[in-house]
Parts: sequence; C-alpha cells; structure tokens
Amino acid sequence: MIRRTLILASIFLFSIFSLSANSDTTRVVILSVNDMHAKIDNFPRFKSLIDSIKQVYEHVLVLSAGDNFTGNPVVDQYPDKGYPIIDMMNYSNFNATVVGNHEFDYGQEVLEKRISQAGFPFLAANITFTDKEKSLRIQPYTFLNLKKGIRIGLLGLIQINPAGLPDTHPSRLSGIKFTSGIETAKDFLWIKDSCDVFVVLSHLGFEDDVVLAENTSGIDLIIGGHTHTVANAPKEFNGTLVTQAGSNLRYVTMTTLCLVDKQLVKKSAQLLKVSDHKGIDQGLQTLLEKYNDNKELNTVIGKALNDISGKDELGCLMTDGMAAVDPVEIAFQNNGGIRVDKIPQGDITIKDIYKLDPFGNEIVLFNLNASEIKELIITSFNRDNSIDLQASGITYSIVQNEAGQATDAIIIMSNGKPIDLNKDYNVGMSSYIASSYEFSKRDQGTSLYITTAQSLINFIKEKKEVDYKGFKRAKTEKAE
Amino acid sequence: MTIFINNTGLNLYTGATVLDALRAYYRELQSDFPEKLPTILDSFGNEIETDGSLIHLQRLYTIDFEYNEKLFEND
Repeated sequence: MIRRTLILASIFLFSIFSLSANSDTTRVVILSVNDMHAKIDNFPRFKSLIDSIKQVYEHVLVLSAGDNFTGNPVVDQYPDKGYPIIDMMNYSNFNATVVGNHEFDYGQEVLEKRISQAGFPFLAANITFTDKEKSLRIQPYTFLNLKKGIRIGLLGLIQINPAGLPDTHPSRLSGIKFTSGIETAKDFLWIKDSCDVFVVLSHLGFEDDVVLAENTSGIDLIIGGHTHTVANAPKEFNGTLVTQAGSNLRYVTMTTLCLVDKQLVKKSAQLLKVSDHKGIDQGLQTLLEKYNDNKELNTVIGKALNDISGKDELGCLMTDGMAAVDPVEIAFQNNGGIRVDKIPQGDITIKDIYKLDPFGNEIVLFNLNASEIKELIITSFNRDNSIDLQASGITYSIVQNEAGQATDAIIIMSNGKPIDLNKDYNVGMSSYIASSYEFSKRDQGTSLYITTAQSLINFIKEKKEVDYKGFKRAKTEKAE
Repeated sequence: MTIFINNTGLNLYTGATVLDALRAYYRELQSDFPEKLPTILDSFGNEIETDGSLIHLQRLYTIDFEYNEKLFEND
C-alpha cells in the first residue's frame, strides 16, 4: 500500500514537474509602421530602435501596413522609382508589408520590380489578376515560423474606394479586380486554425478595421494603415486589438504578444515616437546620406528658351502640364501655388519644379459645364478682386463692375471659339482649389492621383524645350 | 465622398485628405483657415494626421487647445 502510494505520488509529482517544465511562456514583439510615404529620413533611428528591442526580446517581427511609396522626391524621382525605401526596409529586416493604394503609383511594372527587390512578401487578399500572365507576385497571406514552433499567420487587405478601386490613378490598375477587404477577409478566417497568432495587415483605414474586427472572430490583431491614425493607446474591438501608427515613420507601434504553450494569453500595444529614440544605425545613416545626395534632382529635364517669369507665364506652363494628363481638357492653378518668380532661361531641373510647386497637390478632375466653369473663375476673382486662376485649354476675360468685382467671365477655348454652353468639360485643378474654392458643381470630383509637379515634370520631359514668353491667358476688362 | 467634421457634412472629391476636409470645413463656416491647425480626432478619440486619407462617411472632430496662463497663476 505504501509502495503504491509512493508510486502514485511520484507520478503526480512527475506530472506536475513535467507540466511546469513544458509550460513555456514566449513573448513575441511586433514592430509595425504604416504610410511611410517614402519618408526615409527616420530610418537610421528606426533601425537602431528595432535593434535595441531585439536585444531584449528574442522574437521580434517588423511589419508595414502599406503605402511605403510616394511623398518624397528623393525616393519618387530615383531612377529606379521606390528603390531607396525598399533597400532600407531590407536593411531593417522587414518581414512583410501589405500592398497599399500608393504602392501602384509608380505603375505595375515598377511595383513588380520593387517586389522582386524586397526580401519580404507583399500581401493583399482582395486582389485578383484577370490577366494571369501579367500577375504581380502579391500573396494573399503568409505564415511566419518562429523558434519553438510558433506560427504567425498574416493576411493582407488593401483599401478600395466607393468606386471599387484603390485610391490611385485607374490607368495603373488595368488587369486587376478588387473586392471588398472586409468581405474577402471572411473567406480567410481559416488562417486562425493554421497558426498560433492571426494578424491582419490592413490598409483599409481605422474605421473599417474596427468594422472588420466587430464582424469577424478569430483575428488576434489588426495592424492598420491608410487613415494616418495615431492610435496612442490601441484598444480591443470584439477581442481584436486594432493598431495604427500615424504616418511618415514618425511613430512605430510595439505590440507584445504573450504565448503560453503557444496559446496567446495576453496582448498589448503601445505607440513609440521614433524621434524619442536616441540611437542611430550608422550603416543606414551612410545609406541615407547617399540617397539624400540625390543627383537625380539635378537632372535636366528640358530647356527654357527664355526666362519664364511671373504668375502668368509660370501659371500657363504649370496648367499646360496638368492639361497634358489624360483626360484633362481645361486646367486651373491658383496664383498662390506658384512659388517662384522665375524659371531662368536655360536648363530646367527636377529640383526647379519642386521649388516652383512644392506642396504635393494632386490634380482633381471634375466634369463641369460652362456655367460651372464660369462661376469658378468669377468666385476666384472675387476673393481679392484680382486674377487668381491661371488656365490651360482656355483664355478668359473678367468683366468687372465699378467696385472692381467680377460680374462675368468671357471664356474662349484654345481653338478660338467661345466655350460651348451645352457641353461638359473635363476640368483638372489642383487639390487646393478643389477643396478651398466655393463654386457650384454637380460632380464631386476624383483625384487623378498624380501631383501637379509630376505632371509638369512629365510635360517638360516630353516637350524638351518650352517657351512661355509673353503668355497670358487671364485678363480683366472694365464693363462699359 | 461625404465626410463629417464636427457633424457638418462635407462633400469632397474622391481621394481627398484630412487637410482638404479642413479647408472645405472652414470654407463652409465662412471662416479663415487657421494658422495653427486644431487637433483632429476620429470617432474613437484617436488623433488623425492632416495628410491622412479619408473614408466615405468618416466622422472627424476638431479640438482647439489654447494655453491660458491666467488659469495657472495660482499653481
């Protein structure tokens, strides 16, 4: 009996000890950023931050929730567009990125090159290539296997707008079909059963991330982007932790996952400000200096045959660049957006264009009739009783009353004929005008997702030589 | 695309940013665009950066903080 009791006690103690020996607690840290928009200046500090966290935690993943490209001429105008930021992401050992809407800004061919360059996968489940021969290597999901057999499932989702497309120029999306991110995610909830932690890398925007969390079960973490939301204290919605870290690599979200015997028992996240970290990775700093010393910005893109001076001449040049973008017929640029007095005769560089037009405004397309165009011109004039809008595709004369206010605008098309009162026109204008100027319009407008500066660079490259001496398309005349 | 700032509905072009929404908002109020931008929050109390993309029917709120020294004189 005593012997039997001792054996049972031994088995019991052995079980306890073996259970306790096998009970394994692991902390997995995910460092996530989103909407970096090609802002590479913080990368040396960010890399040093990653390394300092890796010194403390064994399992550290680095993820991007999309929009890695577009927003910094150093990267956007690099001969191999976007190359510098992928180079830095490789150096920083990113594990995955979701495809953001701006990933298409350089076109599909360039995106494929960047995917090839990247040492990490590009994810998006709600993308279908209708022409399989032209498919990009975008995966719907991936699994990351850590030591101790821990498996992290990652699902990617890209934003689509009410028109069913991501926010980029539709011409860059040929051969691709997009479906709702939230609905598509429901077809991939099986991922939860194939991994220990199920993470959605989302470029849907914070509000839609919350909708996704509240309408699904099994997603442990949504790492979001698109809305540039600074989620200071990330919260759980329906048991799913939802994070987002602003934009431009100013912040990083540090999510800590605590697993016991590969079961996720606790998760928390905090926002870190990259500038608060004191260290700098010297290797990346050297690389950054190399990229920032961008000879490409000094590249000559064309030649001015004469000085291009003053708002009229410069405005005509800028709007001609906008009007060269399909399907724009008439283009407008406000005088306040013309930031130099002159482009001197001689070579024109990319840097000259960014000095002239530094704001990053995009071209917004409106379908407007003659009376809507006329109202835009008149109300813009009446802001300060002076010519404010430069134009392409038309010339116009403002008719003023005694008080100097515009009472009418006589609009002549570039073919010399008066504007057709029964026709609608494709009117492109800077996003500043689109959002700041009051005028009646039936069409709410759509961004063409090309900056006014980029349209001008393309225009001058195409023309090779430009001459705007004496150009003036907007004038005033007193009413008789 | 329709979004709301402080419950004022704004019709914006597709692809507009938070900054565009603010411009339209102050235009709607017939108020000058402020030199110092307010803090912009979403429905969940998160701060939103001005270059952020907007989502149809998104609701944003502006908070103006003004430090008033007199309030702290007796501290």
